[in-house]
Amino acid sequence: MIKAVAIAAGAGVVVTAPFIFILGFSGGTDTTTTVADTLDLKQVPTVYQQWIVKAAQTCPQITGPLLAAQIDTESSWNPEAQSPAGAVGLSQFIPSTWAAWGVNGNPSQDGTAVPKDPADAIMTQAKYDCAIAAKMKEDLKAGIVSGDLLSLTLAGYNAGIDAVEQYHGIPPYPETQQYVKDILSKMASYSAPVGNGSEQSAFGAQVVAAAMKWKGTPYSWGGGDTSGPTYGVGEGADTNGFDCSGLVLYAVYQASGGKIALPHSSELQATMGQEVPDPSLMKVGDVIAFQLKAPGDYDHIAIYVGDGDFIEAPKMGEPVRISSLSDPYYANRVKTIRRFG
Amino acid sequence: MSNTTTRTGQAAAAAVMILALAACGTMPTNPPDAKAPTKPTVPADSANAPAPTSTTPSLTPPTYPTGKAGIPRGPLPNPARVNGQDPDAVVVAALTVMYAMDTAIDTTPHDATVRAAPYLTPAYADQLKDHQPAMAPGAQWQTWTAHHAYTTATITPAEDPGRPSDTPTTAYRQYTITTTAHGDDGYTDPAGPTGTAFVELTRTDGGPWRVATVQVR
Repeated sequence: MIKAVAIAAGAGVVVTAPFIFILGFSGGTDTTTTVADTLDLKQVPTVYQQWIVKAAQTCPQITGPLLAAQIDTESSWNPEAQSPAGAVGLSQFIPSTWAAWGVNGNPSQDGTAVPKDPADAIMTQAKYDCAIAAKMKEDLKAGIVSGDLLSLTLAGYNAGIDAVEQYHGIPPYPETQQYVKDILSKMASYSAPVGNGSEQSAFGAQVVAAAMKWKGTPYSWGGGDTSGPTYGVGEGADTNGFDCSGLVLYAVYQASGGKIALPHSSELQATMGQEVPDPSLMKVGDVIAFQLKAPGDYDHIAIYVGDGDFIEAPKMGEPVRISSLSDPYYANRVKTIRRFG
Repeated sequence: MSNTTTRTGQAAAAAVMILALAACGTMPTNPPDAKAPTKPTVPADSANAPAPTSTTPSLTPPTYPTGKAGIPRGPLPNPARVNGQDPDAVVVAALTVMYAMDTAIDTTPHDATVRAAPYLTPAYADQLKDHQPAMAPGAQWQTWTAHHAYTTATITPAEDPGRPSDTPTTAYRQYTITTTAHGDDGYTDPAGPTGTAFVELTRTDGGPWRVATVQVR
């Protein structure tokens, strides 16, 4: 009931103003994916490290963690990998794509581009990725597609850029959506920690800082990923914003330097991290999950900012805001408190 | 893939219309028309065009081959027993089928999604059927193929208080998906694809709910 009132009263009006503001971020810039740019070299098999580092210099959009995550997914770093349909090598290009795109990554050592040669495969991966990213950047500027440049690039890689252009964004194929999500998650394990490392208060402060950056951003059901607000689903389809678990997964990912990629579900987030057994032990940056609608169902999630307040993406029509735990709407709900760093 | 798709043009048209209404913003958004003209990124026929430079190959890759027709080995819902009046039942059935992959018949996970057609709007079923992935399915799929594996999915409700309310013709649901692969000789891999699916359903004239689009995030 509360929800229906909020939608009727707020959706059309509240969303409009911040929406325009946010477009500046998503329409053709690629500044949102900065945290995961730094490669954690230790995670890359030694023999391939120099090639990942070199390939990551091909274009600014295609980073070391991205290339490593793709190759991990394509071949699990096995240069001899071969699929029944003839996809070959570290990067699993099929022969006709290789024929068009294959480059010789180490000309001083041999004379041809060979998909099973790790140097050639990695350099070709970067060349192909960069070409897709360049095209997607162009399409973003031209208004042909919308969304996060990195996600669009990965969708173009998996589904083909025609499909991305046809649907003006990530196409409705679960396989492609899964690929985009899986690569973004896997990038986390190839990214170097940033900042001061593991000092508890610093981590919590970074969670809060990341979330606070987006205070006032519209609520969008299904919105938000590791790099910032996204267009949501249904009523959220036109709104670049966050839902509750989208905001939490974003903030925790950013604070962890790309190390923790949570699922987009408050129920699952409520089971993860370290449980804080008592509210009196709660610290800034802890995540609070609430049971709002039904017993046993953690259907809402937010971030503690101190002084009895938390930041949340509440519901349609109500932007990311600070709320109080003493607010009667939240005060008597069952909660669980989780800590991620 | 050969699938029996119920073709009700009326329902398809209505579904497209509803999607178009839902997406009437100022920015281009995902769905509606599967049949929107696709633009080739390089001239397909360059008889009169300047010769393409050899350094910019086509960005329209060939597609990866499709799998074979057949029934996957994992447990599947019986379409006749899925209550079409219950959007949750339809979503669970659709996602269960979409994530019931079988390396004995499928070449990529996409093949399984096409089999969910009985639970999808004809428009969405066509969008899936008309597509083939551009790239190979990757290392995990290769491992599964070597083990002659198929997958089973667990579909669990997820909620966010901001989920849009149901109307007589549109409903939204959010479910989490986890998958496990099962192969020969007792092989199992519990680390199959996971995700949160945001699902839009539509229906016309009190007919059965059908999934109009899925977004896995």
